[in-house]
Amino acid sequence: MIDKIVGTAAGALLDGRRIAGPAQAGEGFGAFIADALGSATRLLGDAEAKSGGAMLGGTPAHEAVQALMKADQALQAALAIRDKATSAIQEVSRMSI
Amino acid sequence: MGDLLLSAMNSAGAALRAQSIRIRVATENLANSETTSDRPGGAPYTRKTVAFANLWSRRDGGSHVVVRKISEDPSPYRVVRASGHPAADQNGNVLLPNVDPIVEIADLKEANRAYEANLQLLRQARDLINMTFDLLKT
Repeated sequence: MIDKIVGTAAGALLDGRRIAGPAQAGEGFGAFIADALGSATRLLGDAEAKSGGAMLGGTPAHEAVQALMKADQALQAALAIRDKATSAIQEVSRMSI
Repeated sequence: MGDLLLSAMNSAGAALRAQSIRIRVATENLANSETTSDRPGGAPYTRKTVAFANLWSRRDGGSHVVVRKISEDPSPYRVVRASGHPAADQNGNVLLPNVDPIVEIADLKEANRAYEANLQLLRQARDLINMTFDLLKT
């Protein structure tokens, strides 16, 4: 995905016709982030259900702990990738022509 | 094949569930080690045994341990002479469960160690994944 962004930005620099490139890069990047956050949201919902069940006594403790760990990891992963990709885009946009 | 470390965590989670079932069965055996029948000459509580099996999880690309079957131990019951007991048959013999508390306690210790080992696996896999993503932070 990151090579799509860099490749499209580089193409826009080298070839004047591809000014439409950054819009496509935005869609690819946005779709990727939306997908990652969607799966993180789904894992968060699952973790909430299982931790509620563990507090009420139905769900085993290790299942609730595992669901919470997975949700936390997915969120950290999405945040770390988002931060890195955002700073990469900012760096590319700061390149002087 | 998904993430290998996540797959390791799922295997450890499945093992936690299997060892929990083993702990529950051993505890039931221990708790019922003196449970006789309520009818004269009837069969008392029968010791339960847990059999594990290895299942291949296509989604994870790894193998999980599952409890294949909880079956009853066919070994003979203990016979004790107690004529006044409500479960005594016409000879005055009472059948007691085929549970040996020493064996159950040893099994509980083993299941305990296995559960803790899998907790350690979970902790390590989680730490490794977090450290990998920490590389992205400046």
